[in-house]
Amino acid sequence: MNVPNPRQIDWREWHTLFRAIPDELVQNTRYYRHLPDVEWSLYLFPPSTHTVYGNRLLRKLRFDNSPAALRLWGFVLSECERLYRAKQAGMKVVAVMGDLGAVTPLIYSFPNTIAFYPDCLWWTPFLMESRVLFEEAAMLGLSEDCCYVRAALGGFARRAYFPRPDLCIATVGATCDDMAAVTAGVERLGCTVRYLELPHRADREKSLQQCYPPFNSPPQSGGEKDNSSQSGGEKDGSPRRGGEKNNRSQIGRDEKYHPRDELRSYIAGQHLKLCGWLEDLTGAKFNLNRYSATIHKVNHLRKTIADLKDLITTSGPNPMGALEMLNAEFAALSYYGDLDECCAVLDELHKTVEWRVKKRAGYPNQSVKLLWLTPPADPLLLNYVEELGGRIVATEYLINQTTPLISIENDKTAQLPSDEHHRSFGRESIFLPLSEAQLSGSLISSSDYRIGLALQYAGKSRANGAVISGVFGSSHCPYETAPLVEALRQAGIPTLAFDVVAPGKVRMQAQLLNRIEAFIEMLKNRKNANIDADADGDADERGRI
Amino acid sequence: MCLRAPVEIIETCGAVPLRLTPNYDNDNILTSEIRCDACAFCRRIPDMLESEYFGNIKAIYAGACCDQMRRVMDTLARSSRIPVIFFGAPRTWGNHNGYFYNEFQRAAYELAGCLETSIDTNKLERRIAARRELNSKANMLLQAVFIPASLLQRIAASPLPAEKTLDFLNRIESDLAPAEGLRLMLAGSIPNRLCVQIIETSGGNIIADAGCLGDRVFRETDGNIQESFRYLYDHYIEQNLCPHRRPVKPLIEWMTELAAERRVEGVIYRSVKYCHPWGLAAQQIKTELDLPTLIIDDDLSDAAISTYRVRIEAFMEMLQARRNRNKNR
Repeated sequence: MNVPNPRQIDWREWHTLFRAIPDELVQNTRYYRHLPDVEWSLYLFPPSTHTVYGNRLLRKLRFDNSPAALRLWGFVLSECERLYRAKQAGMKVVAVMGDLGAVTPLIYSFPNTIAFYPDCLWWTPFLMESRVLFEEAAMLGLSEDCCYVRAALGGFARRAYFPRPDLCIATVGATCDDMAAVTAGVERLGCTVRYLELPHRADREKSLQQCYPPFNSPPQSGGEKDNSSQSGGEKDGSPRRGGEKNNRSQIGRDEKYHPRDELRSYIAGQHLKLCGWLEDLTGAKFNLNRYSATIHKVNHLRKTIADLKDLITTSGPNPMGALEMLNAEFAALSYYGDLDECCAVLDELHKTVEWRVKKRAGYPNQSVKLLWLTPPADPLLLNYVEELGGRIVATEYLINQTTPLISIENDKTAQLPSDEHHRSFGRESIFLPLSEAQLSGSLISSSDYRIGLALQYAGKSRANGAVISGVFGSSHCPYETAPLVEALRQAGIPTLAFDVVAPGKVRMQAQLLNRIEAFIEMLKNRKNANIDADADGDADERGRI
Repeated sequence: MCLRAPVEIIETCGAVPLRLTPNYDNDNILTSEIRCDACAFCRRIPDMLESEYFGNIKAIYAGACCDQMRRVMDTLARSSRIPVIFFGAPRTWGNHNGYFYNEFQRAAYELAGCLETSIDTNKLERRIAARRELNSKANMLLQAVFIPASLLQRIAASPLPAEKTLDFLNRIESDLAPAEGLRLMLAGSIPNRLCVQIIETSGGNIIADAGCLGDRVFRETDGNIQESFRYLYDHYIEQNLCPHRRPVKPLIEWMTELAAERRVEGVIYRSVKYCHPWGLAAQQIKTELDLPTLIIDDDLSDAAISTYRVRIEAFMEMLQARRNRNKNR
């Protein structure tokens, strides 16, 4: 299965090479394997097939030449079709917005239920080289001052990119304003959206401990006793009423106060709410065994992705393309609509990459190591960087919440047998590990947190430079970009920051490509100078560079 | 900061609340690290804080609102010498108050700690009562007579204690009369004084103001002020009608009621460039209000003012013509 000479090839070459793929393999590469007679579920096709379906950008992209990568591409590009098939097969289709992969493990733990992210339609206008979705969104009030996720609203309006969801869930709070605008638009189109709340993570435990002096006024009598439960109040999640005087004294004197614990409990309560919606939708009770089984699969998937990312940073030639890696990383969001098959697809990719690393096989002439921050809506950019000699060795694609392994073994309350108990307080504690994973997201916190991640990844991968591909009009890029650039440059990592250009704006795109070219050229020169300095043993010179 | 910051708590701590609002000087040089595609108001805040007016501030106190507000606070926390006290607040309606209520309370005590004082609940109750009385008076006047928006917004952003403002309203009450001329609603992001002035000098009467410094500041809410934190939380957080909340329906319903109650003839919907909660809701609100609506989106710069003026004047002419046509019928 492994190709001895890894290369990046275009769609024409894949079209030719595809003839060598055995029929048996094509017939056995299917999604929804649990369904009988799934003739329509084949997905191992060359990129040319998907080009015919309208993904015109595929004609310009370069793909890895391994069967594993072909399978990955086929799986990713068939997601839309798969969602319709799921609906036809009687499965429940849940549209999830805003949280980017945090709640999908719970959704998949319900029988015959799958999830997808309309948010991910943001790259469809690029892939199709069409502004149809943006134009549709503009007619509904979201124009160019909204980020590319507005394509999701266009998708809802056109009714041709995914089936009508059985349930729409949106997470708001410490998520981007643009997506919140999309959800309002979706409601306007007649879809009922159920909202989950995600408070921001303050990262201030230490400062809070310092800031809170015991309150000067003494505790007052009257009111309820100790009504300030840190984890929330009444059973239904609402707070207990009355007596803030007691509350005040309790909060002020509690030296063990940890905002993160409280936040985690709150988010677990939100997951419990989602659980109730899913029970109503599917008619099935939450089942702990099924949940555990799903978490195991999700953990397996997350571990595979983490291993893949580690393998990419190893020495030797680049074993896998950045685009394939992007597809792999984003698999952790909604598993492209089929968790089992997604695991299998990534397992095969992992084997291929592992084999290549072992054999020191990879693409030639990709020596400039790069850290990439924020996913580029335009896939072509990743290809372009690689063509110039860049190699993406580390990424921070704003989906950090999909990376931690979710622990369920430590949760004693998970064994509680009583449904009633689960319903009230104990049950939400089942979701504490899930909420802990959600709390590791980089969008919900401070820029400093993301800067820390970027520096950590850059150091670990020994990146020669960093690229930040922002989105004009988003609510986070205007605030994060400058501090990120500053911190990276101060750490000695040359950084290029730009906004991805919308499809069709050819002149602006040309300028952007020029900038990328100049940046890579500069990094190559810098790297060569470093090598020269090393050869001369000139430590000072090395330090200066 | 925005309408989620309870001024009563600041006053109880013995401090003066200075609300951040855009001023006349639109084209001040922006030195902050925030990019130009951020909300035109938010990205001005770091520079506003460097102005003389804010020279002696001891703390910045704000609740979570839209994502950009949160990020401005983050920027200030990182780059400003002034302590930033920021609390989480819900973006959805109605439930799960426990966490956010605790956040709200903690921020209040954090502010007190920062100012090296304590929160005297008796004093807090008095501050709440005074503010309630002011809101009640303002509402009474808003329904009976016309208060120019330029004045109403000055009152809303005033650092004066509620008693002083109330005294002022009592004194001017007899001078106020019902509105004559075009009856307008102003909606959208926080306006600067010049924008309001242009509307008023073009013959428009802003008799309903749904913006961040208008009628919403003076909304009255029920509740027991003996439970001061609970009351403040409900008033400032739970019942806050801001377009960043989801669903946005309660805001639209309130605006519809307000428009009907005040017999609004037209809406000037002025959002600040890249203010997503207002800017991206413009078309929806226009459709649902079903009134003649002018949507203007500018970046608070001087260069935008001329265009703004021309469009306002044209809109006024159109409304006037419409009024004349209706009269003739």
